[in-house]
Amino acid sequence: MALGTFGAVMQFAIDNEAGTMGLYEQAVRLSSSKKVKAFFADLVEQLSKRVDTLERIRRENITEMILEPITDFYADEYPLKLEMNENDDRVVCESAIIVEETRMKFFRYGAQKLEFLIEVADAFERMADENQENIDSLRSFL
Amino acid sequence: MTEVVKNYINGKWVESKSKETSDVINPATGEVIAKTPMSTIEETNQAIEAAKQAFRRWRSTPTMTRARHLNRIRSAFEDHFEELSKILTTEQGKTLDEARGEYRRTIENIECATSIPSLQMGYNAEDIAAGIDEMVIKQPLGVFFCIAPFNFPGMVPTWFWPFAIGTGNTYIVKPSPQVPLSQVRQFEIIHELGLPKGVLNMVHGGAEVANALIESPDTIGVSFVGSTHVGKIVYKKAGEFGKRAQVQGGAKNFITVMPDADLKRTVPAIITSFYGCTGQRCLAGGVLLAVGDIYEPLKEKVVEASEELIVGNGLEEGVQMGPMASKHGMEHTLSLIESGIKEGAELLLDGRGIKVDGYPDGYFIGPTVFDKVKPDMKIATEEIFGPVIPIIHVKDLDEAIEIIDANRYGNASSVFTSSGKVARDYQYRVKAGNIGINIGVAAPIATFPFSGMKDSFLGDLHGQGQDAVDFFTENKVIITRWF
Repeated sequence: MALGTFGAVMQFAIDNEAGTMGLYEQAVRLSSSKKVKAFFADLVEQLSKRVDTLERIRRENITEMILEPITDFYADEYPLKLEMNENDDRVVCESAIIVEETRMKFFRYGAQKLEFLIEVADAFERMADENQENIDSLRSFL
Repeated sequence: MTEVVKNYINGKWVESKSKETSDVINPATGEVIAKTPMSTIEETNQAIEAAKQAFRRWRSTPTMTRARHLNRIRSAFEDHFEELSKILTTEQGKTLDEARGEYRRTIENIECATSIPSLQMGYNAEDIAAGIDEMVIKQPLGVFFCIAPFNFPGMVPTWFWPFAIGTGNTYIVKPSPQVPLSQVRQFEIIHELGLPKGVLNMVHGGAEVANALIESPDTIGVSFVGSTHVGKIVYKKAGEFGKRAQVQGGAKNFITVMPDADLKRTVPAIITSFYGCTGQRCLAGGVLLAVGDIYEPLKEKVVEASEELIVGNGLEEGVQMGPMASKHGMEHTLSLIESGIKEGAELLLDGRGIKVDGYPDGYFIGPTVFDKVKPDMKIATEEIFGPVIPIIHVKDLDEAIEIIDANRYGNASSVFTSSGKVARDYQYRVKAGNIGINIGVAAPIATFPFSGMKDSFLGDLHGQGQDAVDFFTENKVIITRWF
């Protein structure tokens, strides 16, 4: 699916963040280590804030003067597996790393595609940075 | 049974007694989603009376208190942003992004009007003669009203009423009967916020309501947005009855592309300009003037980009162009496409008969591009208000400006160029109220006036910003000497 409009990009981002929140709620239930559990609980909170941020920047940055079509941006390039069944902490963390990497890739590229909307690009970059930090933390659990 | 929308008079929802209604149709599906009553003169007069009564207390309400009311409305609209955008798309057809863009501007107008405590300040001078001072205070006048169009049913009333009530006047909105639902939802939200009764009212209907509002001895002024034909009738009548008037009419906006334009950036801007809101903006591109050598590559890229546009139900995220807002609008555009063919223009891309999966009854027209258009053809002179790009090849900037000047309208015009000199020439010489330099949709933000010239605007003070404050206030001069 082509992400050909600002709205399509933002909706995709919001859906992904909300979906990931559900996934990490599962991770809280499935993980056995207290540390890992607490980490995923923090991530759920972080995702809730990210959804709020994305909804706000969608509302505040849509400007009629520059509602131009967006090209070469496709949802299919950022597939997320949003379910977890294993209760092995290592597997849970490895799955989460893949999810964080995919979303980081999306936000980095999205920031480039939406660079003309400074606040959106900045928020996407910030989110990608957070994804990188999350990856580093998840790796420390392996 | 389909709901008949209600009037909002004196802080209450009131059913119209009128038996006559018009259908509100979702243009993507062709379904009737509500009905608009053609309210009576009596009902209109009730709204005027309510606004007149409310004015006495409202004008003496402290300016900061009035601003706080506007702030609450602004916040509530933010809270209902997505819901309001979806209602707008459902009744009008524009894409969700376009509806969101419209609501952004709606909120920005209210935000701007929250600065009324500063914007309404007068001015003074000491010692204009020996021991004598002089000052101007900007006073509210009474009951104002607007007659709103179908293309921006969420936003256009906010070019006016936040500034009107912010400055201490009271107000009546008459929405377009084709698209009343956005205003109904806005008023439902406002109703919950405790604005004093009678300050803001809404009466649905047609010409009878508009005439009653203009003819009433108790109204002060009218803000109109719609066709130039109706606008001229309103303006004349407003003069006859001694009303203030600001009348925003039709448009034919010329987009000029110079040989030194950055095509990569220009083409997407052109696509948005001509096809945004399915060409039903008063700021939409109307004719594409390709200057000199840019003509061939520009034409090729415009057709290519037009072919890629995703047409569909605006409620579906990712759709880039929705249906026409009405069957009538669709037929008007189709008839102008026919006239273009008959007058000898070359149809490079034909949007007629486009099929959108799942929406066989929608009012869809696909992107349409004409080449070899002559300046005197109907498609080059008349407002199409649909997704059509007529291309005229001109030799230089002078020829482009000559064509622009010959047109009766002067709402907006844009030039795409890398040259500062060309840009300055353009803004200096072109007779249009809103000029874009490398901007496809020259839409002024709320702190600036929404301008317009020639047959696109009748009056002197525009909507939005300081112009709106001046329209809704009288400059009272006070000359003082103390013995």
